[in-house]
Amino acid sequence: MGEAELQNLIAGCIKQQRLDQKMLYKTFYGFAMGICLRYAGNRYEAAEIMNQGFFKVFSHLDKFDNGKPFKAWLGRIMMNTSIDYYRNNLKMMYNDDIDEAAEVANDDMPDRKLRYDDLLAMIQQLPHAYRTVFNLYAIEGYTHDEIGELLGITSGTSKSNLFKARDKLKKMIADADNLPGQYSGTAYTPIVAISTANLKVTFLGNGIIR
Amino acid sequence: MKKQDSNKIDKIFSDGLSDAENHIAFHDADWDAMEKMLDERPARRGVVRRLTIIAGSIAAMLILALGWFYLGNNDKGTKNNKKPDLITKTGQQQATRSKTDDTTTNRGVQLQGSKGLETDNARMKNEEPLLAETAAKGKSKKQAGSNVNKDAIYTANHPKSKPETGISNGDKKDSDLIASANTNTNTRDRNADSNLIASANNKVDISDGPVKINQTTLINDIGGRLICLTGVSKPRFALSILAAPDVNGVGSFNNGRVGTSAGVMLSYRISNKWSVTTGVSYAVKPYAANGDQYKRQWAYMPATVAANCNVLDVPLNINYQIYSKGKNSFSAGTGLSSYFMLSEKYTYTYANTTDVRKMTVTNQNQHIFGVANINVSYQRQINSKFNLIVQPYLKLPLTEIGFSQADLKTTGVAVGVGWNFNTGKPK
Repeated sequence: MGEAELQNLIAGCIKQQRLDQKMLYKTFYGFAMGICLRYAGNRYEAAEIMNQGFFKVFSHLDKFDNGKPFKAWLGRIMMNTSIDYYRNNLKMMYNDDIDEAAEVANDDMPDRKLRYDDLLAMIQQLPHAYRTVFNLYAIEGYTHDEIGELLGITSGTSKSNLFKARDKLKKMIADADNLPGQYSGTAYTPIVAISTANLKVTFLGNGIIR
Repeated sequence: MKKQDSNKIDKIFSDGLSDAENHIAFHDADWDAMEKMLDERPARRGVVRRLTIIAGSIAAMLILALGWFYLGNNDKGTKNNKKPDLITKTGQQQATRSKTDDTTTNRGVQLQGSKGLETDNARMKNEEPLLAETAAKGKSKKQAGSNVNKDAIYTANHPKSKPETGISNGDKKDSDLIASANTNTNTRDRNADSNLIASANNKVDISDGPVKINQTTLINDIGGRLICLTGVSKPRFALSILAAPDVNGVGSFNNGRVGTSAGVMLSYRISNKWSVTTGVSYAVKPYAANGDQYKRQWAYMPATVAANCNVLDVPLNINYQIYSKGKNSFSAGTGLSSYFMLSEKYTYTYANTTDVRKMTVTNQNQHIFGVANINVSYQRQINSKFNLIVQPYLKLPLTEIGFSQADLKTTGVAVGVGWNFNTGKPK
């Protein structure tokens, strides 16, 4: 999308024109969802966070400075909305002290390239606090002090959560070969477990009925 | 921002997740949910407006109630005193005269209550039917407020006195003590006063100086005639502790779940019939409903949403005593509650998956005057200080409650004990 076209779209959104809003939403859907999926535990949460983020975008678009890149602004709103979501769920967090976690050695890590869906599934399996810190540090590039300020935790806790996250991810990568092929962080209905007993009953039942 | 270090794990994820756009397909359902949120936006402004109107109405009600309260007190004073203005003026004029004419002033009467009230002037004029008029005014309201039970206004009319004699009316609300004694005798001496006061069967100290009355609550009959007494204090403040099992439901009570509530309430009696109540109660409110029964627009509509919320409920109610006989009384009350949602735990289930999502929201939602209260109270007096309270109540939301925006209704029966902690000592 060209810059002029984007400006027209933004102007239409400021006027609350629904078609322009939908166009903007559709255009940046993948980008926004990509951020939210990293911070959320599953697709449901991600979609909810993303829509809350877009709601903020549409509400405050008149304050957007046209001289700055829109995508970065949008991305920041999505990240902030994800952090808000994290704060609202603080009771479920693991906030370990620095003493409880140590840096993970990764010299033995083989160079490998994993699929997007697999990486997303791994990151979504992390506890919320670890996931948030890992995102902010490893992907967004914040320092521990900045993360501490953003999340209301100490930089020590941030470090601890990062190390724990890395440790868990390292184990997941090591076990990556055992991940089912169709498992995906973007899937609508991830199958958690299938009881073989039930499968047998269904199979036998089908046989009898037919 | 930091300098990127060279952690391999970080790099794997940073690189692998960088091109998310190419892996995510657009879903119309997400836009549908977004559109609902956008459509809902004007309605939210309406809610704010509605809340403002409600808050304004409450303020107006309170002002009216307070105004009525003060006017009511003045009216009472008028009832006790047929010509308050005239008499007040008379008292003032006489006071002026007493200053200019030393011979007309005989003595002062001093009333010693706990407030240290004392008579300003006591005057007699031989040539007038009104022979004595004593007016005692209390000190500041602050002083009186600390001991309302000892406030009294009493008037004693001598049998032959003319009706225009009476008392000057001050602000009798707990603060001023006004005594007036009228007689038609042409001589006014200490005995007249002492008889009057002694007949009131109170502690009287008669001496050459001012007559002292050590107890201010007087009810008596002088010569079988009128004794007018007002200001026999009733308790103004009452503290009550209430606990209740209640039922919480979204929209209706069909799928209601039982919760509990307990709290402390403070009541202030603004008149014989009216009182205001406020306080705080802690409530555990479990409730459940289908996803579409909530106002919140989820990106993916859950099949069911079960909640367990811990709420601080701060009510402001006005109560009217409908019936009171003997030890029993019934009141009806209404008002508004503010909900402070301390924690909200939600469990979502979905139609096409066994996936259960849990979510906790803490200290995020406050609904100031967001809930209407309706209650009926039955009170049974145990003694002068304590009473038993049984209070069925209904709480109806004026706004969407909590993160899930539920139309959360509550009904229950509170049971507790009330304590009238500034009970008067009526004889």
